[in-house]
This record gives sequence, structure tokens and C-alpha cells, in this order.
Amino acid sequence: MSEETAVITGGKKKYLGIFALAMINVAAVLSIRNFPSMAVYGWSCIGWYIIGTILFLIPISLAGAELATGWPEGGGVYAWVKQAFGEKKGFIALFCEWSNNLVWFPTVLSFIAATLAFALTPELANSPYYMFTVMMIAFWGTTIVAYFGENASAKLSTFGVILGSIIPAVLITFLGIWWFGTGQALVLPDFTPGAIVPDINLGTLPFFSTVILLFAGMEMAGFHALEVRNPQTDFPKAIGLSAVIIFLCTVAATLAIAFVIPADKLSLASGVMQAIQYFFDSAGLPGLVGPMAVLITIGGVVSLAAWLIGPAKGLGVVAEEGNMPPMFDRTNKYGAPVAVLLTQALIGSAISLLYVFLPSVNQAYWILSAMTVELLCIVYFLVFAALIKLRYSQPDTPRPFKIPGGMAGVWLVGGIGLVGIAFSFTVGLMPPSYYSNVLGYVASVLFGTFILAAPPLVFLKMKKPEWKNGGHSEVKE
Amino acid sequence: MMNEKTEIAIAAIILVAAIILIPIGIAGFMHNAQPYRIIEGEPVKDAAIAAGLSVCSVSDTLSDLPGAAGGKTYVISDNCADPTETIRVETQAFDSEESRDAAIKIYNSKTIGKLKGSGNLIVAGQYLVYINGNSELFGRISNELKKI
Repeated sequence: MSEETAVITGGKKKYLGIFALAMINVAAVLSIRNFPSMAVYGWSCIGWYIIGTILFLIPISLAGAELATGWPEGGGVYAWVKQAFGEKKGFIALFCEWSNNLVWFPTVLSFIAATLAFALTPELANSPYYMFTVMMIAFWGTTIVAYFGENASAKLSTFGVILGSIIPAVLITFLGIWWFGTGQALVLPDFTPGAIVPDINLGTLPFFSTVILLFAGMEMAGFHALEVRNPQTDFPKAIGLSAVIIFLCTVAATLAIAFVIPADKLSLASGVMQAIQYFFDSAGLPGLVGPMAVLITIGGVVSLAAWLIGPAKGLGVVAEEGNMPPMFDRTNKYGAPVAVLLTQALIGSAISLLYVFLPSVNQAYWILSAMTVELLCIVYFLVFAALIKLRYSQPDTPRPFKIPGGMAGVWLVGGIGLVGIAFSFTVGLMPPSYYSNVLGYVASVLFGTFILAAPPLVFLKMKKPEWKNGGHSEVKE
Repeated sequence: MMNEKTEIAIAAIILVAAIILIPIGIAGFMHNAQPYRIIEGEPVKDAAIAAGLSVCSVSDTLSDLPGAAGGKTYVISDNCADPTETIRVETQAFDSEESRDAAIKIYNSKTIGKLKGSGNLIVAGQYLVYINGNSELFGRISNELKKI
């Protein structure tokens, strides 16, 4: 997959602008789905968000900006980690990012299907046949968009994220302000500075770990480096813009929900749309619930698209470099890695099928979620470590964006990120309290994580010289 | 006759399939499906008492999820008068296996970011039993629930 084939459509080279690049990150990270779960914590959700911002959002944004401008190559995290630690670790980082998606896809797909059902007939969500059909339409539909290359994907991200994430978040925020401004009773107690301090104890440790990775996905724009005209200047701006949009929309909309909906209505036994319905009913706008369900469905689809396309493009680059069998190196005339997209779609469909129709998988999903945490931690651990290592191993490589403060600044940013990620990895191994076989749980999560992270080692062992270019093929359609 | 390219392709497909089936197999083996069955009475309350805990308060709840048939919210402690730990446990009954399993999917989809939310969920007959956070008391209740 050459750069030219990747970005040329109809003879005209199309580049991603700063806004489009920023929207890729926003699509990956900003989700209405988070808001009711975070609003349960009332004022202290601010404290939790601050923890996530300090321990992850700021470090990953700064690290992403420095790495993307220093090594604006295709492959995103693969390129960055490869520069620091070599091909093997770069491949592992990328594969962990890709394989954790495969476990996550059924979650977001079932959210999309259930939210759409809410706009039609909520009872539809009880039908596994309805759920699976809609999940597959969303999944394969998004894959088809990815097939048509960067231009189509960028349009989906840009318009979709505005429609499905930013507009709903802004609307919820304005209604919260209106609620507050018209003197309606807030369901939260009076604000005190102490109220924003989260309650951190053994029971909330797993949540602490989740909050650290709340903003995972900020590196997503890095996968699109080859489609950016001036990556050295555009990446920092796009990452900064996306970080600000994500933080403001998330905090404001969560607080708006917390103002209006009593905590017991945000119960664990309710869905996201039930909370949204209560919110709009309370605001006297029940007619907006259906359109909001449609918008939030769109938000789910663009979130899916961002995660589906980015790591797949990265794997395409890995295959192009001859680290995977040539079958994975097939690209189409739009520059899309069709073989990786097809493999991903088939595996994702199979997992979704098991998820919908096998109750044991559905009920045991928490253990797969735990593997997802561990895989993400491996990705980010390697990214932060690469940030620090590259300052030593390639000090003279031009970095148009450099984390300020010299080595101390890099150690501070990378160090905070590493500590946060190490903490999340450790806590991710804690079994739920009702699980009696602790060692069995830990061993299973670690083994599952290893299996999902290990294929690069097998591919590199099998690697043959002719895989590079020798098996290269571009499907002319 | 398969050429080397085909063999590699097949190996790759098997490898990719294996990395999916093994983790899902682990999850499935470690957590058997809970058949839908009707449990009479208040299983969480009974389990809490059997675990040596006290129910400090109880209130009725009805989720808005399709098929929800009502439940209770319990505040449970080791000692209501002088607690060292207090937890809030929600239960919700569902009128069919389909609606109960759909509610599990909705719960699973309430992720924060890409990750699992803050709560824990267990299945007992027609009930879904939820708790926010992690607690040793909930572990004790869960052990007793398994016996019901």
C-alpha cells in the first residue's frame, strides 16, 4: 500500500484538515454512553474527570502530539513504538489495540441496536434476531464505508460525530443550563469544594482504573498520518482541539444530567436511553427523545467507525512492511486495507453472534472486558515508554511539537502516564468480589490477554523475505 | 495441491480464529449460563441474612427496561446500627429469559469509554442483581445466592 494509492482518489490527492483530524479523535473518545454512568457520582464526577484528565488525557495528548509530529508515518502507535523498541514491540502494541477492539465490538454494536430500538419500539431490544440483524448492518455498513477509503471515512467521522455526539452533548448541556437558570430544583446537594473529591477506597478502585482509561482513543488520529498535508503543524492543533472538545462536552453534559436526574433513576438497572428519556421528560420535551435516540445511534456508529478503521489501517501498514502474510497486504484502489477489514468484519461478526445467542458469553462478558483493559494498558504503556526512550535514542529527530520542560517534562508526562497505566493494569486483575477463585481469575485474564497479544510473535516467527513486496498486490476494481 | 501461499493463508485464518475462540472459551467455561427460573420470595434478602448480614432498609423499584417486572433496592450492612461497611444492592426481575438477557446486554453496553462500568452484575433466576463498586459483603451475598 503506497502513499499515493492510499490518498489519491480520482487523480486528486485529498488531505485531512485539522478539523477532520480532530473529529477522528472526538469520534473515538466522546460518547453519550458515558454520561449517565458518570452522572451517578454527582458533583464528584468532576473529581473523577479531573483524575482521568491528569493521569491520561493530558499525558496521552502531549505524547501523541510529540510522537505524531516526530514520526508522521502510517501505522500510528506501531510506527512510534517501532522507532523506540523495534518492530516486534511495535507490532505487539498495534495488535493489542486491534484485538481489544474485537472483544469490544459486540458491546458497542449492541448499544447501537438497543438505542435504535428505543426510537422504534423498545421491546425490539428483547429480540436476539433484531439485535443481531441491526448489529450486522451497522458493522458491515461501517466496514463498507472504510472500504471506500479515507475520504469516505473522514466524512462519516466529521458529520457523524457532530450529529451523533457533539449536538446531543451540547443540547443536554443547554437544557441543564436552562434547568439551572430557571430556578428549578437541582437533584444534587448544594455545591461545596469538598463535594467534587471522589471517594477512593477498595470498592471504587476498579472504577478508578476505568476512569484513567476513560479517554482512551486520543491516539486514533495518528493512524491517519499519511493523509495529513502538514502533520508537523496539524497534529498538535488537532489533538489540542479534540482534547478541549472532549473534555468540555463530557464534563458539561454529565453535570447537566446529574442536575436533573436523581441518582436512583440512573440506577444500574436502567439503560442510557432510559436516563435520556427521564431527562427530556423532566425538561418538558418528550418529543425530543426519539430524535435523540437516532442521533445517539449515529454517535455509536461513528465511535465504532473510528476504532474499526484506525487500527485496521495500522495493520495494513504492518502487512505492507512484510510482517504479516501477503494476504493481509491487499489494498483496493481507494487505499483501504481490504483484507484486514474483511478479516476484522468476519471475526467481529462471529463474536457478535456468540455474544447475542450464547447466554454464557453474554453473562461472562466482564472477564472479556478485563482482558480489554489489560490489552489497552499494554498499548499505552508502550506508547509512554516510547515517548521517553525516543528522547534518548533519537534526540536529534525534528519534533515540531515538543513537550515543554526538556527531559524533566518528558519524564513527568511519560511518568504520569506510565504510573496511571501500570495502576490500571494491576487493578484490572482484581476479580469482582463475588468471584471466589482469585488465582484462577487472574490466570485466566492473563492467559486470555497473552493469547490476544501474542499473534505478532507467531507472524514474525513465520516471516519470509518475500512477504515484503513479493506478495504485494493491489486489487484493481 | 495447495501452494505455500494458500497454506500461509489458512494458517493465518486458523491463528486469528484461535485468538478469538480461546478467550471467549475461557469466559464461557468460567461462567456458566444461568438458566431462567422463577425464584420465590426475596433471594437477596434471604442470602444476606444467611451470610450473617442485616438488611437496613428496603424499597421497591421498577426499571424502565422492556420486560422489567419490578425489584427492590436493599441497603445491607454487617451492622445497621454501627456499620463498618454498607452496600446498596438493586434487584430487578424480568418476565422472560429474553428480556432478562437483553437487560444484561444493555448493562454490558453501559461502558465508560471502552471499558466496563463501575458496577457488578450477577444473575439469579429471573433476577438481575446489581451493585455499584466492589465489596466483600456482596461477595458473601453472592456465595449464598448460589445456594438458592
